[in-house]
Amino acid sequence: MLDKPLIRFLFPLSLLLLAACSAPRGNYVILLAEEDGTVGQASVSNAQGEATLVAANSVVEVPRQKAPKKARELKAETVAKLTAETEAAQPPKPLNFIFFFGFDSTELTGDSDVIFTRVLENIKTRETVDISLIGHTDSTGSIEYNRELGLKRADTLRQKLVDNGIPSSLIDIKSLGEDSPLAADEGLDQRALNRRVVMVLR
Amino acid sequence: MILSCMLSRVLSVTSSVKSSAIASRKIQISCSFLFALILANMFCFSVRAEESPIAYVKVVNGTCIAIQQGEERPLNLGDPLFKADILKTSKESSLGVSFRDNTLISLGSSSQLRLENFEFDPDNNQLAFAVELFEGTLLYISGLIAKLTKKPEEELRITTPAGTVTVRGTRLFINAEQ
Repeated sequence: MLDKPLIRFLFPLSLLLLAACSAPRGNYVILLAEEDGTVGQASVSNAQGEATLVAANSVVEVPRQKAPKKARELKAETVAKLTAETEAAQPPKPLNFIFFFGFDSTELTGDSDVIFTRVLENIKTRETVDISLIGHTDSTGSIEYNRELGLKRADTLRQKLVDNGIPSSLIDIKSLGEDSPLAADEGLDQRALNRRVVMVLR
Repeated sequence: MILSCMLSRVLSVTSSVKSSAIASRKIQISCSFLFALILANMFCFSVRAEESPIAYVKVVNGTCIAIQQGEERPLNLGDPLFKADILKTSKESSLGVSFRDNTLISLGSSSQLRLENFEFDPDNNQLAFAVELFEGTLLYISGLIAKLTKKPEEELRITTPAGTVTVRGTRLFINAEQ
């Protein structure tokens, strides 16, 4: 038989352990690892205080009218159960495609047909799409000219998408001109990398 | 701007009344006022339609609606969403939405989320993502705004009944009870 002091010691300890394993209730925030395994950071604050989340699968509970509790870790199974419904409704991941252009040209380079075919294949796998096109140029020519050229390049792809049955209203186009180079704008090869349109398929 | 335009419409319509006979003036004014209201209404509607979507519906399970200025509309796959929309999911329903900056969110059943603010214009340093979860569950996966912002406390905010969540590029699950 256990003596009383030991029970006195073990009982609260077991309660503490139970609380640590139990699923959260009420208002709470769980930090999750991203798809590539990286873990960001978040914090929860109200008039009564603040708590920070840094570890994957950790939770901060916020009791009514009280400060957020210190973060505690949850079992992966517990987290999976809680998030299952929203995970299942998660939209497909946005995909990026890059199309390259010749010098001062709004014509796509030869290999772009292969990429465009891939785009069309991916569109087919999605129930609904919306697309962003962002045109870029190298730094040859004036800033205004390059803004315009970037827009024309993006428009080349918009037209190609429309020709393939994508409604124009679902395509958002813009130009960053020479502002956002992919490579240092030196040498012919690197300049060629900057003459591009980035397509984001959502 | 909308107000001033409405006002100028009202003024132009009422001033044209001046030349008409005095006896029928009262009726005409009230008629023209009505006409102006209708015009203003139409004008507001066209502004609404021209406003660019901030997000699109990508997944719908069960029954989900959006509420904009008190008006409800059912949500279907591919529907555009606008600033100030309140998204509502029914029992055993869920909704998946992707924003123009690649932020992805999904709502579980019996949830209510307001799209408070969204700005995505990186070249003019205009970035904002603010949503308010009134109740239910939200899965949030950060997009480009979280990557590009230099002021996450100001520009990236998820509000819940229990407090405010600030995010530094991550994936989060939030449960809210009223």
